[in-house]
Amino acid sequence: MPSTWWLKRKTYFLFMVRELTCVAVGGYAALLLVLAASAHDPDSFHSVFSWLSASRWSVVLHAIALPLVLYHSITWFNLTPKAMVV
Amino acid sequence: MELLNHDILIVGGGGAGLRAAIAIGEANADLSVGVVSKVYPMRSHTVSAEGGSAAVIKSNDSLEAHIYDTISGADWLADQDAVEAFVNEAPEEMIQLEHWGCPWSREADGSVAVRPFGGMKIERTWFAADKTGFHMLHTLFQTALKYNNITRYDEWFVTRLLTHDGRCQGVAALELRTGQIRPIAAKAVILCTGGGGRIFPFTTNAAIKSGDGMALAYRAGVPLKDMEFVQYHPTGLPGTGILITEASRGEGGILLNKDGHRYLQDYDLGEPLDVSDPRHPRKRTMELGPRDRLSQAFMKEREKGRTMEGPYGDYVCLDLRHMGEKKIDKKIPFVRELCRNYVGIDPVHELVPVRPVVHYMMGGVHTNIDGETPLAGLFAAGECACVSINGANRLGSNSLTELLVFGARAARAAIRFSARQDVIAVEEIHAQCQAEQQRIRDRFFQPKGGKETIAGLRAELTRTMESGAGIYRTEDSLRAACALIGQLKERFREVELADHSLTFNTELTAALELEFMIDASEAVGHSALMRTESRGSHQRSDYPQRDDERFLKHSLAYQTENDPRIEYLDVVVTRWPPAERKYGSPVDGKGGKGD
Amino acid sequence: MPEQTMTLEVFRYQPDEEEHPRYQNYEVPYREDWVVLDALNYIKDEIDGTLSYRWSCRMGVCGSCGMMVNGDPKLTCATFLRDYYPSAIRVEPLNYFPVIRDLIINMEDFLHKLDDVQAWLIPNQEKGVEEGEYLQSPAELAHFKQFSMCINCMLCYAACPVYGHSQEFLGPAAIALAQRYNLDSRDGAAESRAEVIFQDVGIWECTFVGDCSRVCPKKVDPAGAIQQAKVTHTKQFMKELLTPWGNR
Repeated sequence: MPSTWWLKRKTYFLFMVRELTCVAVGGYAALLLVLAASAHDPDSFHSVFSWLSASRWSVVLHAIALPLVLYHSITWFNLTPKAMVV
Repeated sequence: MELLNHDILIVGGGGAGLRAAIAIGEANADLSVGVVSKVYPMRSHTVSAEGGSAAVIKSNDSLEAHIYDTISGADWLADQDAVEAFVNEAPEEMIQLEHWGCPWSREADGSVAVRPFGGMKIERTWFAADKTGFHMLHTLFQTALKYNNITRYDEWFVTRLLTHDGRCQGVAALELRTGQIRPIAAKAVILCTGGGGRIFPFTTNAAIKSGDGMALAYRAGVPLKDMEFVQYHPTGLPGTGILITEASRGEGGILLNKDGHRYLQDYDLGEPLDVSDPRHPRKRTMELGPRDRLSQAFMKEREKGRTMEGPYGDYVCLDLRHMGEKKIDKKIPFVRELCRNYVGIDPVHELVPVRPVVHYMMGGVHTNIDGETPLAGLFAAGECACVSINGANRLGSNSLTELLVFGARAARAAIRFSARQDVIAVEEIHAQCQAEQQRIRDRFFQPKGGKETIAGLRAELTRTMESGAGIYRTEDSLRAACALIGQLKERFREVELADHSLTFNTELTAALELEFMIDASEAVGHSALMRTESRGSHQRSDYPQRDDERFLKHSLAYQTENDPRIEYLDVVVTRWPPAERKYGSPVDGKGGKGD
Repeated sequence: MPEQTMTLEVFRYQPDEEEHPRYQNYEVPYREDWVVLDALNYIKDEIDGTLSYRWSCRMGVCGSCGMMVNGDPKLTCATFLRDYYPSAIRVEPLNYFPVIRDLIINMEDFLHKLDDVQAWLIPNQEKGVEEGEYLQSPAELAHFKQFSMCINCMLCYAACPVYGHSQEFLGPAAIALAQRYNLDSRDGAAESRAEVIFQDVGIWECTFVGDCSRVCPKKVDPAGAIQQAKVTHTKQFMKELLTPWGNR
């Protein structure tokens, strides 16, 4: 199959988007880890936290990541029941 | 050419064929079985049966009752020894299918559920929701996969039986993918090819049901029995022939003519109750009258010009709208699904056009109680055979059971027969197959400038059958039909194929099927002409009475150079002397999701 | 009023005679109640007898007439012209299968896979016919019923990009049917099926695109069957990992 196979059908495309949103989820997870790692020292925690809440970059990143993570979560919850034997 | 060779060869991969294959597969792992089918077995028409399959299992029922219902339903033309064997073996066969995994609907306690069905006085119809035939066929197909001694020839089309020394010793079959016609030798051959409803224009039968096995046997000199008996279902969709089950009327649906009048009241079928009346619908009356009476009323109504005309011919209307969406979705969801998905009509808001459609052929290849035909080595089972348990009119939900019981019986008889044979006339088989190859090449692949088309001839044939040998028949209509069939036979020689390819040539198979259909039609027409009485599904306007004196007999149609020769054979009567046919228990709407 | 018509662009291919497939356009009458299969039958009967395709029941249960209609896998007996009119409709054989001719695909691969997964009932305990039926409650029946509705129409394979990448993949229908028997209270052979189903080219090739379930005309939900099997396998794997002393 050609490498552009996922552009051929809308459903394939949406699948690829779902798969790619995991990057955003991973990014969030990394961020949380950084935050957690800095928690032992109030000063460094404060500096990470203030970067997160004040930096323009942070706002942009969140604006991008939030819908992706939401999309990931929604599709995940839509699909999970299928995996359960009722 | 390599000779394919089996102990037993089964032609047809539907319910009867697969049941037979499994019976042989189980009986002896050293026996080799071939199953030749023109479609993948799970595509066979058994798949379409909705209603159910009858067998006595509940304590309130008895074998005796099932036997009587079957014999009286058949208008006493069934062989009573065959019916007894059938009813006795039915429960075992059905349980066997359960053991193979068939998802029968269940009672709360886990036992198999049964439901009432038109013509059966006691509920004894096993069902798998409204897809009984589908589940039975897939269960059989999947079970057949486990036997290593079963070889399938999927999408091979049998064109001729090969006989030598008074014995059937194999078939010539066209491998669709390659276009090769090859001999397959066998010590015994079982025909399980189903019926031939496609010889009629309006039918519930799938496209593949062209009477192949009947014609194969007929050409090999085997008589076709009781071919004049063709069962109609009163409510099918014109055009597609999709069957609208009896349950739609059982739940309150009404039939209207073009003036919106409930015309059934004019045909001695009782007084109509208003649809809002809690007593509507009343059993045995109006829309719940016997199937054949409903079909006959349609014909009379059409004569009076009170039916509607549509692109696919005349029709009346089934009105379900008063039931409302909720009730329709709850009680007959399958009806709504069929109407919406396959013809784009929503019965919640629209009238459903319906008309009588051909549903089942009681007649078929003449066999005895063990599925043996008069030709040694040739057996038959299922709709293509006539044992006969269906007589002049098949009882609903007996046909699926028949596939199992007589599929297995024919298999056992074929095993016994094949054990006594050791030699196959290999050279003779090869020569006959080569002759068949030549015949097909000459007939269909030599450009000869013929003007006839398959579609054109097929349309003429089906029109002829409908007008001449339909619900009501007369001497004149039948003579005209027989004459026309004779002409069609001649004109068939002028068929010119556009497709000369060897790969999956569906135009060639359509031509071969049409040739089979013409032969089956000939047997139907002539048998009907000779039976000057009315019995069961065979209604002669010129001879409206049943005539046991002359016709408590099976007809046997033999092919000859000219018109077929019709002979008669006494019906086997054991303990149930003929009586007036009273219609069995009324159609029960509550669950009688008709077949 | 002149008859309304519409165009069907039909995939034509004769592998033994032609090097490449081509598309042939046919003008067919447009009718409200016609499905794509009706139009194909019209072509076959009235215009071009050489067009090849499979069909039989025309009521969505035999599973013969699956084709790609404008790129979507569909049963052509249940696909109305009116949903496309007046645009042209492109009809092609099902994706990812070898073409035998025109719209006819080679589906032998699937039949081998049915064999591989042992898609038949292997009872817990053999029982003679004279002992009567196995008891099965309506709830136990409901457990597997959905997966028994598969008509083997192959639409799910034609929708599955994983199958498109590798025909080794067992694929949606075969796994759904294996699961149908695994979940049947009468069956006792889940373990012997596990070997085939739990391998990489079994369930684990599936990336859960989910298109198989979307195109299934019988709502079998093969994607669900595959994910269920993945959970079962994972649970088994973890159990074995955490209790290596367990006898399995």
